[in-house]
Amino acid sequence: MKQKALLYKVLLGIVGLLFLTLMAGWGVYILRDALLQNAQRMGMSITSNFAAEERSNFTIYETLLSFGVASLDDSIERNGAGSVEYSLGLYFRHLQTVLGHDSFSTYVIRNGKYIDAWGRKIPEKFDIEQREWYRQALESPGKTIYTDVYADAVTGRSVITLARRCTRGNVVLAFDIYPESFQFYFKPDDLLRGDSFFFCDSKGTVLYQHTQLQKSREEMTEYLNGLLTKIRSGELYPYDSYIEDDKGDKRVVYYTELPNGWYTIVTIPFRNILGDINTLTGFLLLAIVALCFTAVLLAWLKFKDNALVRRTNDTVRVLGNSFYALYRIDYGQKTYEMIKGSDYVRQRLPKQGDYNRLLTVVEDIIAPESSGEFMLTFSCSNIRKLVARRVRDFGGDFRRLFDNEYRWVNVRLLFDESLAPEEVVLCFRDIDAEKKAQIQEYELLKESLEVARQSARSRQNFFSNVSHEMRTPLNAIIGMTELAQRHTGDRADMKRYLDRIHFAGKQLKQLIDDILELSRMEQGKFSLNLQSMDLEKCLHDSLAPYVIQAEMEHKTFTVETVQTGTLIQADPLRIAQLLNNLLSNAFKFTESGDTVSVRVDRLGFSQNGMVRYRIVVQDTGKGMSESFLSEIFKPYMRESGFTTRSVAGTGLGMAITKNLVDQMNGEIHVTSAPGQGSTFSIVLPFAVADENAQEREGDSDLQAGEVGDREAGRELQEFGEPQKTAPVSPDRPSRQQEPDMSVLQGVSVLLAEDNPVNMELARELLGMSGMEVTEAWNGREAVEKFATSAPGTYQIILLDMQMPEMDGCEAARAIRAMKRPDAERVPIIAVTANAFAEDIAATTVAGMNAHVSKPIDYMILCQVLIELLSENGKSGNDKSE
Amino acid sequence: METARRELLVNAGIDVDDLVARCMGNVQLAERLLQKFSMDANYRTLCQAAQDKDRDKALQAAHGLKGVCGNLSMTTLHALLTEQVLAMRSGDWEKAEHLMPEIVCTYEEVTAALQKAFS
Repeated sequence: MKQKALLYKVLLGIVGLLFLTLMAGWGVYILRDALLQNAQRMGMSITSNFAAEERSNFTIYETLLSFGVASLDDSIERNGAGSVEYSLGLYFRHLQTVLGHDSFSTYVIRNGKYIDAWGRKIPEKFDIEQREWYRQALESPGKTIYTDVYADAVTGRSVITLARRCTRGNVVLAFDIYPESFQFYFKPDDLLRGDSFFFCDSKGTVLYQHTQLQKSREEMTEYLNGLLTKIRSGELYPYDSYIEDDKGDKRVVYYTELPNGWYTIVTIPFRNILGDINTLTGFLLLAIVALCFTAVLLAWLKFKDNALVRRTNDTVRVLGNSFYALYRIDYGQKTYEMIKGSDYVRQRLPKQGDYNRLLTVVEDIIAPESSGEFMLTFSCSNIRKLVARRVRDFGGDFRRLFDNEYRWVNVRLLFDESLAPEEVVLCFRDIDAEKKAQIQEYELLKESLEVARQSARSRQNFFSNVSHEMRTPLNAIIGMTELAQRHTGDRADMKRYLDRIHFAGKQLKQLIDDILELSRMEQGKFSLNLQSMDLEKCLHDSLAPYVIQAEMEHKTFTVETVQTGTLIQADPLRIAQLLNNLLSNAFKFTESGDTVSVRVDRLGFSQNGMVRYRIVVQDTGKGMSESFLSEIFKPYMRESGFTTRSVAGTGLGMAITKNLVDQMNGEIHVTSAPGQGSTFSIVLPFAVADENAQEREGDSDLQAGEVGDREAGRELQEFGEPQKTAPVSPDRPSRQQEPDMSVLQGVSVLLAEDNPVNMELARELLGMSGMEVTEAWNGREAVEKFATSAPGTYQIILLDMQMPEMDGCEAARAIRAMKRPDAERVPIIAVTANAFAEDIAATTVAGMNAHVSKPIDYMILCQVLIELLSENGKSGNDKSE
Repeated sequence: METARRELLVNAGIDVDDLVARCMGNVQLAERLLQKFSMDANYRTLCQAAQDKDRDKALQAAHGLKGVCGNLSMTTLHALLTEQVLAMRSGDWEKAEHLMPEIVCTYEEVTAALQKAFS
């Protein structure tokens, strides 16, 4: 638009300039015309004056001729025709007296006979009858006949003859006048340098000339004859007509014709007439050229300036577009001017108005936690203070309501001297996505920092503890060795010291074994040596030592086993290690008189054909604090109370135990309270070694197993006191509780998976739960399907992590970034074959709510789905409230 | 599932019970999925990428194949691919390459068993 306006301006300028030029040209033309017309009038006047001067000469000659004719007529009447010669002589002498001797000659032709006043003889061949002027004189008595210039037959000189017939007799009186007789009395001012004047007869023979043209007589005659031809044709009559002289100069021609056909002619060069106007035209042209140049220069400068302004404006507009609202605030007048407003504000406020009214309207949509501060900060009085302190950019972030949804917004108060006095700019920008990412990043960093600190603290504690624990048996070994050296003669003392050294050595070995074991587990070098074994026998063997220990420590130790009679595939050493860890702990933290009990239940078969057992180790010892319970399975963790006691241990036992249970695909829970003992519950699945036994017990056990599965969680919870339960793993849902599958009925799920086999399996599994599956074969397709669906179409999204075109994380980010009500809330689950920490962290960063691993475990998948749907339902309700 | 077919599959390192359990007892679904295994392009991509030393593509293909094997309870092949993916991700490409012959052998064994079982 602006370019068009500029173009119009330039065109208008050009038209204006053209108009000006035309006007100037027209003015010059008018002036030239006027000058030429004036020059013509003046020129004609001059030629007319010259002609009049010459006519007066002719009048004299004619008068003299009339006088001569009258004298001859009188003489002929009185004395007869013979007196003509006498009268002519008398007349001639009188004329000489008046005109002088050499300026003329006169003669008479009587009856064709030539009578010269001078007495000159004419050539014999001369025939007067052949002369035109003579015939004309005879035919027109009383009329003076003029000839053009011709060569005199007697003298050969150029002459002009004037003749008139007498009324009596056939007598014609004639004067021969020499051209030299024609003189003009010029006023020098009448003709300028370069002007020419000619007096010529009807054939162009020059009689008189005043010119700077250098021509011979013949050339001049030819030149003038040419002029006369043009004059007679009327070609030179128009005031602006002209001829070109030998030098190519243009000349105007003015003339007057005398009655005898002779002409007075004046030629004037154009420059003599238009000299001033040419100078003026030159100046005008120069001025126009200068004007054009200036106009072009100005237009170019303007264009450049406009281009710069346009670029600046474009940049400012782009900057302005990043803000959804812009106001100019006059804090002196307490008014606002809305440069750009949100829909909400535009519907409620005019373009300009009371600033306090604007604040009130904005306050209604600011989150309650920020509205008070906002009103205070952006009040006119505070703005005045900020400006007084020369604060040029001031603002902050707050949450603002957009269509029933709070989004993060950044507000800036900008001050600059270029604004009007007491004016500032107030602008609002939607920063929801970046703010959330920032918050998430902050939380992640905070969490990472906390984890790092915790890990550092744990390691520090561990090293401190390990060194302490190692020092204890080592001190014992060194001390007992010294004692043994002193008592080498006493065999009984020696044996006692060696026993103690042996015990301390075993303790130290155990400590080192634990560290190495945990290290192996952490490095993934752990493996189970599965073999067919009788669980009951294994239990018996593992528990036997503790029966003796209980007796020795005066503690009650009970063992209860229910339906354990099945051969299973398991690693007996690891099971023994598990029991040993749990029981050694129980004995370690119980006093004389306390009870330690072991209960083993078979929970039946799970759906994948595994038989599940629950082992519960319970004691009535000192128990653990709630805070320590959440840390108990982390490596290197020991409750401070533990170290105050003289109990051996590395703090690694429980970490090893948890690792062992995980490796066996089992679950472990612990409940405890200070002074009320502890209960460790382990559920382990085992493959059945004796297939016949499984088939034998098949139906009933399977039924019981399903019930057992469903009730496993409850049984774990109900066993013992109702105390706090430690989570098994934050990212792995427990399979102890059978989820309520009805929740999934009719739930619409968007499933993105690029592999046909995985897609079919997932689709079938989800379909079995009554879910409605929409397939997408890559991340981009999933994003497009979500984008084109109506809000709320999909209640959950499953994204495979590795897909062509767009992977799961990218797709999740794209969905979360969409501006629609369900983009932020819809649960997104990552399906991944990787369980690496960085992969899982990436899913969190991408905004995914959970992840499930491949191979897909139907129960885990369903449980995750149910939990997320439930949470989303709650969150949705919270938001709607 | 027919006993002979089951035996063939189990011998090829496929945990049929686990697969059927994953399919919620739907044997037909399990069989259908197994028959689709040979159509999965990841194996061919992996072999080509290994030959071309295209590590990114190899990792992607191994990862994809691992996911399918896991879902189809092909325990031996899944274990090998898991090890290979671990090696690739830790930058131990030498180990990943050394695993290729065994993976190829096991894959051929599995596909041969599948072909025989469903022919």
